[in-house]
Amino acid sequence: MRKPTILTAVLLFLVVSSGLAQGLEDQPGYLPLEKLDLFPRDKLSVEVNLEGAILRMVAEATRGDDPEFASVMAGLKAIYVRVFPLSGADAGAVKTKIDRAVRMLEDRGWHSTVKVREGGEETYIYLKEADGKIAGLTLLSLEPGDEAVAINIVGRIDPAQLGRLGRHFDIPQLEKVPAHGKKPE
Amino acid sequence: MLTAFEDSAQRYRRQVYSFARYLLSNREEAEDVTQEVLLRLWRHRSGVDEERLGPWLLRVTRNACYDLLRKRRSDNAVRAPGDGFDAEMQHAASAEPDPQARAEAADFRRRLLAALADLEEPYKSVVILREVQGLPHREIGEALGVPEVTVRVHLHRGRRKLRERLREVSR
Amino acid sequence: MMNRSDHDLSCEEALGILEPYLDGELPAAEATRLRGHLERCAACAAELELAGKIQRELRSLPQLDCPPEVLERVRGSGRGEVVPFPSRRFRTGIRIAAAAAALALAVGGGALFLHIQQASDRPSPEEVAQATRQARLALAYVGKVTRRAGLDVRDDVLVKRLVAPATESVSRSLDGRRSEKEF
Repeated sequence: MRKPTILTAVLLFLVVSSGLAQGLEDQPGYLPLEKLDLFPRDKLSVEVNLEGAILRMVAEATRGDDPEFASVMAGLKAIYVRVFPLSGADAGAVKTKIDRAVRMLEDRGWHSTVKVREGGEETYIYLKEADGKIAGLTLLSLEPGDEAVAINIVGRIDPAQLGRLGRHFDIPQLEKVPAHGKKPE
Repeated sequence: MLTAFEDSAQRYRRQVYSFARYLLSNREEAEDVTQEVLLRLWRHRSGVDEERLGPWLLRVTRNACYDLLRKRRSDNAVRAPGDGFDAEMQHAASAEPDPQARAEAADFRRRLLAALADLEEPYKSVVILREVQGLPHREIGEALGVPEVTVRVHLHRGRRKLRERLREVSR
Repeated sequence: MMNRSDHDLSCEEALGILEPYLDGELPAAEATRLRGHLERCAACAAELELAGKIQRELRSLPQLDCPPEVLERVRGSGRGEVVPFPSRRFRTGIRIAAAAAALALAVGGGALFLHIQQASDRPSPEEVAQATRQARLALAYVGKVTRRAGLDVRDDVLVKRLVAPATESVSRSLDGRRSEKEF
């Protein structure tokens, strides 16, 4: 019985992994942040790109001490984050780009659930549905003098749960992820 | 698209790696640079103009190598001469039937590689891209951001410097 | 022994056009003059010979093959934005993507399949830890932004202001009408 199992697994691997690897762009909840061209890449303070299998590994690794976080991770296909510091930068230019991104989201059938504009700060949260379920979340936010944030999360999403979990994690305590990876040593 | 990245990565990784290897004369560093360059290709995959991909990759490679070379200088790293040029390169397609001639050919190659390793920029990049990788002048100019005529000038000067170095040694 | 005439090149001139000559870029007349000089000047002829030897040798240098592990590392790294430098973990042997490891787990594909994985490019604990930090950072930003937008006070408020409208807007759009909520 071993041989068939391996063969099946290998065949499944060939089908699924190619599907996993190539299918992200086809996911309804996926948003190509690069195409939004919101922020100059070399000035990002944070850049996160997590896709596919690594998220399942994260879920595996955290199941023991943070089961809720783990179950959220297990349902996700991708997480993308871009953070652009605005101190000393032209917030107006970024705002224009965010407005354009918002229009693009709406053109692509994303549903706005939050639009907050207050004292120069802006926050937009959009959700994408597929088969009656939420398949993607995009968050765009601008706080002049602080930073602009763009987040795309793809997969099985419960926005309330995401927000709640997120508020347990404190940004200052976490190490900032340097953009672009590291230079060769 | 992953497929497009895969195609590009397969098509260009040899050129990128070769360029880095000859520029740095170090296998490990060349691997790291190639990894860095392909990773950047992956990150920018939706933003790079297909037609300019080749020159773009070469420029990114050269800049990554420069960063390493600068770091080497500041670290005063001691590098064994020609430590990147081992058997795979020494194993020249030497058609010499005579063992003596073969030995001389191997010796000349070793000295040439050492001279190439010591050749300064911008000549070194141009010599590698033109003579070793066989790229046309126009493409080299695009990659390095200089006019074609400058490419020719640098090529000639680079070759002249190699000649000077090899001439001394052969006396 | 050289009889200089108006047509003869000096050695300095000859050496100056050696390179274009080698590349076949010299106009015919100048090439002829150069050849004439080389017939008479052993030193310059030796220079040309050396230049030719260097060029032939350079052109015969091999294009070097990038080790396949490098591309594998990029594939693995590109998935998780974790870039170990220098990474020497990957050895030759059976290489199956991390996706397959997850798949093996998912289908209960068997300890044997997982065993095959051991020798391959499964992310290291450090890489998974880094990815975990990044995922938490991502959620922290979601939290920060929703808090700033005043959506955090209580979970029931969040549900009321975010999830319910989202569900509603989703179901409305399924009915063919778009809707938006502004707060």
